[in-house]
Amino acid sequence: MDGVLQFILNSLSLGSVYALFALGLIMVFGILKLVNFAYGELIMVAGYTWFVLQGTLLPLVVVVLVAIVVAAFTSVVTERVAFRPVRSNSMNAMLITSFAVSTLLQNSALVFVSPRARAVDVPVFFHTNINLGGVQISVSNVVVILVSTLTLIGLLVLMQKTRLGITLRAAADDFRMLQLLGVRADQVIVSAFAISGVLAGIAGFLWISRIGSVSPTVGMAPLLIALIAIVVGGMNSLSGAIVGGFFLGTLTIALQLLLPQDMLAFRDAVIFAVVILVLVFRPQGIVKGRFATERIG
Amino acid sequence: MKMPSFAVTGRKLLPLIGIIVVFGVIAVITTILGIPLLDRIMTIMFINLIMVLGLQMFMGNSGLLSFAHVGFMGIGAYASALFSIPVAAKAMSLPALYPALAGIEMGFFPAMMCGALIAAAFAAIVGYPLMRLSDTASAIASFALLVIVHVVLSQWSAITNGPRTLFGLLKYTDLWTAVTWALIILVVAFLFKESSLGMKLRASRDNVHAASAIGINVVRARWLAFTISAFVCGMSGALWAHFITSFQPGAFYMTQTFIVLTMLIVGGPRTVTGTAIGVLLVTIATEGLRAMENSFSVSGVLPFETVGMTEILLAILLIFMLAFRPGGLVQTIELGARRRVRAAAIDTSEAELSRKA
Amino acid sequence: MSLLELSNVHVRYGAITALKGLDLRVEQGELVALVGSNGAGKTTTLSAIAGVHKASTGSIVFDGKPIHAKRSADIARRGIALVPEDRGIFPSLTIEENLRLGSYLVRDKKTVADELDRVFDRFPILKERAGQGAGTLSGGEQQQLAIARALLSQPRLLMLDEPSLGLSPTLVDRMFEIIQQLHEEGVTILLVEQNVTRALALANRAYVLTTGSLTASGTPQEIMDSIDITAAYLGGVQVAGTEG
Repeated sequence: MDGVLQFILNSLSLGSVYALFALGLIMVFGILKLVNFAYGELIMVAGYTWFVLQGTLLPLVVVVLVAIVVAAFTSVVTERVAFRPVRSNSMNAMLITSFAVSTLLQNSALVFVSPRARAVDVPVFFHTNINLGGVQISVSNVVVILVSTLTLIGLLVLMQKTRLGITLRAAADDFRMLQLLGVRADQVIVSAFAISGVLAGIAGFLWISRIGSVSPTVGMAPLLIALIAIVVGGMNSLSGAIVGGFFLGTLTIALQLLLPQDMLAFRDAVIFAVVILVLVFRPQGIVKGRFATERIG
Repeated sequence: MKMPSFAVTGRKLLPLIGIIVVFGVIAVITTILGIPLLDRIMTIMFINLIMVLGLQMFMGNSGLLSFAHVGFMGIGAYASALFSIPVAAKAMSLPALYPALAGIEMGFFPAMMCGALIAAAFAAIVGYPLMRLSDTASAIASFALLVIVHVVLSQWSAITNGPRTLFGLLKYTDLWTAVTWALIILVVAFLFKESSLGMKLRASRDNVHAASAIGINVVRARWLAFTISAFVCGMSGALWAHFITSFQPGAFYMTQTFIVLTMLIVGGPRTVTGTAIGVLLVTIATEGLRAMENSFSVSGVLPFETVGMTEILLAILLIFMLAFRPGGLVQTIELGARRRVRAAAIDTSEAELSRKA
Repeated sequence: MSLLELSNVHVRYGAITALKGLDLRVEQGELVALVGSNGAGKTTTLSAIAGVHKASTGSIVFDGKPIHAKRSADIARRGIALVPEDRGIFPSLTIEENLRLGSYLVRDKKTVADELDRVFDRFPILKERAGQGAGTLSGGEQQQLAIARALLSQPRLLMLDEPSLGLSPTLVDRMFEIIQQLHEEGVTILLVEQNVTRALALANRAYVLTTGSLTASGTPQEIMDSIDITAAYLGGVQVAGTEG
């Protein structure tokens, strides 16, 4: 019984971080249909902000808030400097631009900080357990689940209740029509990048507190995870991204338990094969959704 | 009076001849100078030229973005190594190798062909369903393919030595091996573009629906191009492997993909001459920057590590190119071919038509 | 001074020139009809005015200021509303949210609420289903939503692209009734229609477009007299008097 509960908690914890990753990526994808390969680097930026500020006497909460702001700011700057000029070109140009931005940020970290991983001071109590009705629960799991739940609620309110949220959802439906109603494209896109950056910052904090260090390539895994999750979720809706994230989190934990050690190494290959299969046979996502990529033949 | 048809063909071949002469001269000068470092840089440039031309054959003609091709280069490298490493060295290089494979030892050429064939076969098998996808979905799928190849190369220890360095290859590739193959592939890429398959692909790139409507089997055309281009990339991997002689799976991942894409985009993916010029310019830029990087890090002028500066500057260059000249330096008309003003005009306005938000 | 004035407007799609030197004007309070066969360039004309497709040459002046170089959002901000042929409904939003986006540019909350009430009076079905997803609406209801949304921006010029397209005969009647009402209330309207007779019956003035250029313009009566309507549908408009 304890094992089952532990499995559920671990899945929820990992799944909620994955869901945040996916939400940040779909935020921009929904509007520009761009897979932002530089998304992982926003998480890296948040991590390095944490690393740089941990020497100061600022409390962790402040450090994390600053890290989130820096990630959001970086996201907006990449939009303004790199993506906006190529927006009128082909989708391929956008994709390659995001690949270039990713390389740029990664190598900047490598040059200006260090090629090696740097440890961040994760508070000790994260690694302690609390006893809840006879069941041991790790504090880090509780923190992760709590923070992600609050973030999800916040995002939900933003998207459903505010003018900005309605505008963003409308942009994902029909961006041209939205502009015909007097909404400026730049404004909507900048907002999407900013929200994407905030989500990357929050998810980045949770992710980096899990692994305990930050390196120039720390964003690679989150990017891949987010990519898988949005494909699995159907690439068209926020709820799809959330479901995709939790699905992938649970799958990862399950495979860790079930796969023999020598097969575990190939786990990522298996998961990416699933991605290709989904794209080919079920582009609307394995969960639900109505997005269908235009296809030929 | 009719123009004799060979004159037209001759004019079409002019850019190809021009670019062959340019690269031939570079090879001759490199040989005459006899500087080992230059020799090494140029050999790698010619190998990269093969790789990028392989990618151009698919991407340039079909208009589909592929992240997967560096993976095919990796397959070519590892597969050819598997066949060419001397039996005696295999026990050291690949201690966990399957007994059935441990006795194989081939010369370089057959090993390279086997490597390229395996890359092509892999591309043919996994590629077919991908060719039905369009735009973003196919780009994501090709990216997933790159990740899969990377995971397999770094985990299938029995035949790749896993994430550790694979060594024990003999050095077969020298400057002129690379030059010879690069010039052959230049001709192949050029003929491919002008072939009926190339023409069908280019038609589908400009308008998928119109191409299908006139009876072109777009999926099949893309698939053939994907397979052929994987073969070429596999060859470049084999040549590279037998030049470097010891390497890790990481060599065929994001960094190489970035460099290869930069070369293609800067030069112009739609033209063979553009592609070749992109490879040349990016090589010059990279090596120039590396030289500066090294002198800076030796002299300690700058207060930070300089490894990675080259990638930063290349990334900035690439972003600039995409913003201001997205079609590359040589956009649609092969360099040196007579400029067809009308065709060029139509092409630009089509680009405008497809503009988004 | 006309509210809207197009002079010598050309629009190109690749090698094709969709508009070849169009001159057109709309006065304050007028209902102007733009008619012609499929592919004549009617939708292109509206797109050019709304800034979706840029005119390659010529000028478009709205309220005395050139707008042909402006982006579509900025053109909308000057008071031009386009109800496109596909209606441009946001299917994943509710009807109410669609309408809220219509009043995106109106800052005053009181005005927004009043206008919303007026729109709900005019289109009661939208009020009934306000909380439902707009994607669930029928074609006729979507058309009503699209027009309602455009009205909420309090446009100085309302452009309707084929509002009767795909509607049942009863709904077509209702649609033309609505258009007439709006016109009577003083809304300036530029109406694109394939249903030439119906459009001409409402319009103050009309233009006939054939493969990218004007073949006739004037009052509905003048148009009726000067062209062979059936020929206009076949693409070759014959202007009376030019024939021997």
